[in-house]
Amino acid sequence: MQDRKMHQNWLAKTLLIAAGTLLLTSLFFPYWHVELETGIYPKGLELQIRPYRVEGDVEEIDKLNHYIGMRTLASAGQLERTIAVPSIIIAALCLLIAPFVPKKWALWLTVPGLVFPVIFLGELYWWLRDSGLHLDPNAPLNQTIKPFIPPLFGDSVIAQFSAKASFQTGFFLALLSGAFARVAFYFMKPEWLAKSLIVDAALLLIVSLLFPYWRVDFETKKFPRPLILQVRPHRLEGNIGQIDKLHQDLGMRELETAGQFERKVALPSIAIVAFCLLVSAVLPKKWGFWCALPSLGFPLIFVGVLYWWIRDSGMNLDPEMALYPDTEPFAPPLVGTKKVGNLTTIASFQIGFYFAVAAALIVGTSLYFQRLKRFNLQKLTLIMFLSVFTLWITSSGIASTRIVEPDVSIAETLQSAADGDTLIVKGGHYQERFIIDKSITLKGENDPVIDGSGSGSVITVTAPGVAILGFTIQNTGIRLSEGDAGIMVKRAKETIIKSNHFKEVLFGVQVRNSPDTVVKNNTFEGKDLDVGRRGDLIRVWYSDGSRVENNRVFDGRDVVVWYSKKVVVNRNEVRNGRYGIHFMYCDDANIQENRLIGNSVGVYLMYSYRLQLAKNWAVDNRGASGYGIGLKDMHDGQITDNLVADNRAGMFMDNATNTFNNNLIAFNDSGILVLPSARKNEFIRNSFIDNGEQVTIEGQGSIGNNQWDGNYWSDYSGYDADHDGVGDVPYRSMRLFERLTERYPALRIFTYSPSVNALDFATHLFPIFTPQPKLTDKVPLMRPTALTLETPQKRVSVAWLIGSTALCLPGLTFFGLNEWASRSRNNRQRETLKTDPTPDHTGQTSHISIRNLTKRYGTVTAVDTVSFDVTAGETVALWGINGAGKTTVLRCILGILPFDGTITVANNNEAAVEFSGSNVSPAVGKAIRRQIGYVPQEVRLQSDLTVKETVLFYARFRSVPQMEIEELMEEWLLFSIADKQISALSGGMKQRLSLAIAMLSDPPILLLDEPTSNLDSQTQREFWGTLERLSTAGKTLIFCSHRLDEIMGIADRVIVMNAGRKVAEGPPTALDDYLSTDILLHLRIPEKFQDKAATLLTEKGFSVRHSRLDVSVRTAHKKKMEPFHILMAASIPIDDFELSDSEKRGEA
Amino acid sequence: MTNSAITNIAIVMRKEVSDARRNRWFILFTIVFGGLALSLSLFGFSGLGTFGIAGFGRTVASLINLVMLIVPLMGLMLGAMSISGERERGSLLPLLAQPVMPTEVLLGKYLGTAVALMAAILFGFGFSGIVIAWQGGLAQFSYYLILVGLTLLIGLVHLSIGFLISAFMSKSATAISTALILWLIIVFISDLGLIGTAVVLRLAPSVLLAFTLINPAQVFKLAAIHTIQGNLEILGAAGLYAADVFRGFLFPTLMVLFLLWVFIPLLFAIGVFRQRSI
Repeated sequence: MQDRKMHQNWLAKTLLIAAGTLLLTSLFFPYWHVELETGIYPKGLELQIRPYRVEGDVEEIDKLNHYIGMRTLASAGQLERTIAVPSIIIAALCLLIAPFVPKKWALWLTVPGLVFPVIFLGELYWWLRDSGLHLDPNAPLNQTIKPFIPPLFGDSVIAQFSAKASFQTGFFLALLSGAFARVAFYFMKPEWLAKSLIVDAALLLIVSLLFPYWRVDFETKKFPRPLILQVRPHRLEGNIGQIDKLHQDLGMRELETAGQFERKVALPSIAIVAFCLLVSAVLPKKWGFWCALPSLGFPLIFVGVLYWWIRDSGMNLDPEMALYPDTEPFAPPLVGTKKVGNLTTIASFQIGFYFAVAAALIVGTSLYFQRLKRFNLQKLTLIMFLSVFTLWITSSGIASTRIVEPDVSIAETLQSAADGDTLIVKGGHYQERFIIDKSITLKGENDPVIDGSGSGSVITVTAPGVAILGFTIQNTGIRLSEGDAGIMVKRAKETIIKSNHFKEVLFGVQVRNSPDTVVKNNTFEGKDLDVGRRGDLIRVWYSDGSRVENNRVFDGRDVVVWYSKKVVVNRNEVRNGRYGIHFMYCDDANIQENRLIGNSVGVYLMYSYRLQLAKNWAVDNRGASGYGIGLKDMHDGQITDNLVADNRAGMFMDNATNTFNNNLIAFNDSGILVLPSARKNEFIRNSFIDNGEQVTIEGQGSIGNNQWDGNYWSDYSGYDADHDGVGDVPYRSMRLFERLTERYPALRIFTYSPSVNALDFATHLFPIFTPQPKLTDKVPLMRPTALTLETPQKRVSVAWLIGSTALCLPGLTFFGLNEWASRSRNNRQRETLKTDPTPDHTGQTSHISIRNLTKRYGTVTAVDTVSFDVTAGETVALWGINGAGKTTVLRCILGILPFDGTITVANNNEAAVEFSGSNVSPAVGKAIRRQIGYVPQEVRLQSDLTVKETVLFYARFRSVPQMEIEELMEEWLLFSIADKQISALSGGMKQRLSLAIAMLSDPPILLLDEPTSNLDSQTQREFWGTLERLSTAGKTLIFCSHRLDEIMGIADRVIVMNAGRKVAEGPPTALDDYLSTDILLHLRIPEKFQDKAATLLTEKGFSVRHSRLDVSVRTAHKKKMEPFHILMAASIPIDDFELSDSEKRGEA
Repeated sequence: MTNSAITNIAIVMRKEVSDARRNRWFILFTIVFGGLALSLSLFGFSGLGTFGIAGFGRTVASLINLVMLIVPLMGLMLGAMSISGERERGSLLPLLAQPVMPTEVLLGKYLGTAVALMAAILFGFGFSGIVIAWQGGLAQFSYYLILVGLTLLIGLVHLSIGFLISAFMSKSATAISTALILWLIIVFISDLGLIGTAVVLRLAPSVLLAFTLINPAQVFKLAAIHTIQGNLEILGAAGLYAADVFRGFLFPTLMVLFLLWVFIPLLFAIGVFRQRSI
């Protein structure tokens, strides 16, 4: 026994000396080491800590830390570092001298060495914690990073850094020294073993708090690095925001909502447990046992609570929220790997927990040494179970649940409720308005309706932590000034308003001075008022950290968030309002994945810094200003991955400086409307597609100090020869019209005019007109940046299909059904014609009287005071040379030319029609023409019609019955050529057709204008034969001719015309007398023969005048061929000849 | 108007309609207009399909542009060729020798050409409409219908002007060149001149608006934009001024202007034709 004690003493002394030496040695080694990895320093940064010195890349780390608002390393633990060396040396000396002092003293001298590692750990943790939690709010990157605790051991990710911490040789030496001291202590005082073990356990428990207890890694394709969640009894650490987002996709709750109470009580509880342990060391065994007991249960309770919450979060999914609503409830693992969807979780316990377990084991061992055996095992188990159960119950809270049925008012039930209670409101109609002034949960089951009866606000919340879920809230008042709202939240932080339906509300939810409020999964439908009289369906004022998510907002005024920092507005859908989302003075807000469609303005953001606007849709916002995204006095924002389409102006920027990445800006009237006050904006990898104007400058000035390089422009006309995806020539926005309208806005009235395109085209052709480019993109992309959007399924629009087909029908009838239409029309024509009254001209005779007919074309007098009569049945010829006025007389009789004088057409059936004056009344002309058939000089019928078609066309004007048409065609031998086109007819056939047309209604008068001039002699004879027959039949005929044989053959009377005047009138035989009068014959004879010709003709008795141009011969009408014969006999060539009136010529 | 007048108008009109089917110019116009409208509606969607958004504004803007460019040309050319051509060929004389009034001939010809022109326009719009329907339609069909209606009107306006030209001219070549010059003036030169004048003289929006309203093509544009967008804000200050001055009467005013543009040239054409029909 003595030997053994001696032996132990010797051992203890050796250990103590070793411990002291180790501790001293530890001073020469680093204690702790951390590696930082970040993009800026690809090699990574290192930091080594000794108790008295900080080494490594201190400067660089300080710089980094500065960005996120951490203090400099040197400022931490200054005092500790100064006193470290003396303290350690003292502790080591204590250990070294301990073997040489009495045991009583020696015991105490071991204590510094014993606790030194614990103190070091505590100090280190303290300073790390201090630096991570107390960030400088003015730091440049402060807003992107949440307070955190840097890890004491292991790896973790903080913002863009990843840190890996580990203990180093120095610490292990110190730890070993402590362990040696501890063993030495035991050898010196073995009887204290049990109690000292308890102290060890207490220390271990406290140290355990410095380390995480449990950790889970989330691996998903969305994030390149796994997301980490670390759990300590009193707090959650890691990538909580991102994990929440992942969880939301599955419909899981947010992490922070889990175990709130447990985390709150954790620290005090553990402190109490540790304190109890320490106390139990000094208490008598009996009491000591009870005091030590809770520490045994602690690891079990931790595991139990942890399991409860992770199971709860996995089993109670909210399908309404989920991106993948089909996800089955599941139990996330406590330890090990599990796959849910494409999310892999790897869970494991961490050092902290192992320390706590070790502490429990040590306590257990210690209790064993204190003769635990006295208690039987069953009793112990029962006690443990009871204590776990009690702790469990207390940790779960003491709240109660009440049920409200429709026959009870909610307000009354509220009165008797206490903080923390839950009121379940059953389905039904609750006509009441009430105030919630207690921290309760109001939960609707089976869609209860709370009706405010059209006055004031329906629910007013004035207590923090209230939750209102699952109601239909309707019928507020309409006082804008009072802000009558479905739910009014006043000075009540952490209110939750979720899954409610707001109908007929002026304001939906008003949140005032209530930070961290959540408005989620609600549907809002505003009152049917003018936009100006509507209220804001969501309005958040002075409420930092609030969240507005997954709401559907229809027919309101604005969604307003003012004076609130760090607000989150995600995944809301806003339609048919004024401002989809309206921000003022809201720094560090996060606006993502909202759909803003068909509002006056999509998003209007003002006076805020560092805003994140991503993945939103602003489509079809076409109100007065019609901005998709409006930015006024906005700075340092990130605007990425948004779709901005079909707005009046895609984006509007006034005094704004932001970064724009990967946005799709398409089909807006103006892609971006910039005021020159917008500076230093960066546009990179955005796609500008088919905007009316890609970029519009409003006001005078330049926008050149913004950065436009590296975007896609749909109107870029350059090329990419080297196929690197970037255009080889810069994109320049320089449409002349755009520049003009910027300087002269009134010119906008020409927008959409073809002239504007012409103007811009001209500037391309003639660079002299090219304006200064508005902006230049030196490296334009050749393809739009890919923005993945859901493409809605195309479905054929029935309305458009039916309507458009109906539009096509007239066109189809017009073109395609040509044949069918004309056939049916002919049939109808036949029928109607048969029933028409036939105008009967049979036996009708007409006479014509013309008095002082004068027709002038400008200064030329074509017909000069001509008068004559044509009696019924008479055939009168108008004879004269070309240009004598014959045709004009005929056209005047037809009534298609205005003239001076009178023409009377009378027949034996009707009253005489007299017409006169310079303007023939159209009706009279029409009546006249009904009695007249007209055969023009040259038959010009439409060449692409057939004979039959032509006849039918003219027959319609005279309402000729089908029978008669057929008779006529037979009579005029037209049947054989009925289907021939006019163009295929010979001159004679045409003339015959023309006469047939003139005879269509068998009119009493026929006017013929040189009818045979284009016919061969055989046809001429036939034609005159026909005319003679008509004349015999009693028709009144007037025809023009310059051919004597025609006149002699048929005319009863001849009217001779010359230069518009009637010069003679009488029977054809009298024409001879007239013809004996002299005329002048102008002969064109080659110059060398002229003299000879003149002499020859003079010799033969002609009066000859000889000029340079021609040889004029005066001769009688009848003898005009004689000079020709004479000259031809003498072989003198005649090139041409001309006849003229001798008197006139003479006068001239 | 008497029965016989209506009959006569109908006869001439029917003839004109059947002639239009064979008129190469008319067929060419129809194909060009239909083809362009069709390709517009196809092209207008090709970009959209990938993104799944409907760009009604954009398609309509292109349609407005197309209509302003092509339809006045169609109307002017068809009108200008109508009488002058027949006069030149000599086929007008046998027609006028029939018991018809010149007015009846002119009205018949106008109505016939108008029917043909409208058929062509409806054809073009109908086919594009079917293409649009196939792609899921665009906004309300009623807007499209109004756009079609306005296009018919602007066609009639220019047909009237064309007839007026035609009534003066005895050679179709002269008539066609006059029509082309007038088309250039209406569609391009007057606008460019106004732009230049406005820049130099700094015309007030009200003055600019007044000058713009003289141009029937611009009247069409205003009416179309007003119908589809519900306001004229895209046209800037002058547009706002118009909306402000006319208020609810803007559309009726534009319609009255249109009708004036249809009837006044037509009446003048009748007057001229009665004076010198051949």
